[in-house]
Amino acid sequence: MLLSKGIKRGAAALAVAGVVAAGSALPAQANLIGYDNTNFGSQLYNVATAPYIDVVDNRTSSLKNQTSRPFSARNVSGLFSFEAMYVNANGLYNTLSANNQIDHFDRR
Amino acid sequence: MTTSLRGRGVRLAVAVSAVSLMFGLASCASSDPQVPVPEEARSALTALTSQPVDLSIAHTTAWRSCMQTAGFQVPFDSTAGGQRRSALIGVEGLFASEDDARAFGYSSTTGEGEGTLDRFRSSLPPSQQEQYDLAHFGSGETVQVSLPNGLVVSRSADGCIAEGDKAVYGSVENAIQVGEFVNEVNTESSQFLDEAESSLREVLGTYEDCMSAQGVSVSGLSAGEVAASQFGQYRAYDEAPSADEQALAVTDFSCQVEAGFNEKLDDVFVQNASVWIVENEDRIIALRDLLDESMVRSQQVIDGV
Repeated sequence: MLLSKGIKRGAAALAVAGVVAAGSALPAQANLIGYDNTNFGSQLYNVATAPYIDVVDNRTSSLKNQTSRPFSARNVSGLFSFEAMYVNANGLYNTLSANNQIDHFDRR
Repeated sequence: MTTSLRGRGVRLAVAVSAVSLMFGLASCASSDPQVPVPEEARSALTALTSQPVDLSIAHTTAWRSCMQTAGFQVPFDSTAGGQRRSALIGVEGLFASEDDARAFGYSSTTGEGEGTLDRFRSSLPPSQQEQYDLAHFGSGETVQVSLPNGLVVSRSADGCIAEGDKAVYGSVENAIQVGEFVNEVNTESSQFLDEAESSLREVLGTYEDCMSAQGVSVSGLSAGEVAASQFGQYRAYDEAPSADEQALAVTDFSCQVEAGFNEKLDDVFVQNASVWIVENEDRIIALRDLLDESMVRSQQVIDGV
């Protein structure tokens, strides 16, 4: 009911795709896995428990966080390391769109 | 709905034009024109992006109950939600509060050792690990949501993660809408990181002087490096920091407050994203309402109601 209220009141489009069939999401293990392509194509990295994960810059186009902890995906800009994306625990990010500026991850 | 949105767009365009005229060429030098941001929208933004700890504790509670029903006596991880975000623009090294500084310290002192839940799963025989994953993640079906910033996000439609989502947010879909709003803010922030950096540089000397006065030599937000150097990587990510590390983190936080980093970052966001905020005001308030409902549910879950 509340979501309907959000859509009714919202100014921006909320395109909800609904339930997706089994097969693509069931994980093999609890890792953070990044991919070069959207929809989990061409794996770039697969890391288990490191607190700081350095990855190839600006390449992550989709991402699976199968761990029980969130990560902050960082974009280094000048003196500071800014959050490019907040990666929720147990979230699957099929398409990162403008957020593919990730240089490294910090476990929150 | 279409009519009211169109009307809102016209009002916004008029407001932007008026302010652009007032500021003249100066507005061209800024990344975005300025429009007034209602206080309710600003506070809703903070609420939606701070990642309140009650949500994660309630989610963990509901998830654990589900896993126990499935036959897995998992331990309780009170730190599962991680640190709260400190400002609308996220910057590594900043704490949201003294409590967070004391509770989490620096990730630089955590090693690659497994956390409590990892160890529990690892202790199971392989066949039971498969059952654990099935209970945890569910069948593999997902609920997928496309967000206005282009992000497409999925979460398990069944299993104990989904049960946690439903217990706290009412539905998996709501969990995505509320939990991922922070990334819409991050998408906006990415357009004015130069302004954010300039603003932080203005007070960096104040911070470094404050730390120096406390006997800690830092260059930039490098206290995490100091911690790693002094204490090493001595703990798992879900273990509490030592008293010495806590003391350093609390000192760090007090100097961050003296410099006013988090306020600076909030101001830069509101100043530069004002048009986006006003355009999305109704949706932001609706999501804040959804968050408030989730906080009530969280308290009920935590209280065992």
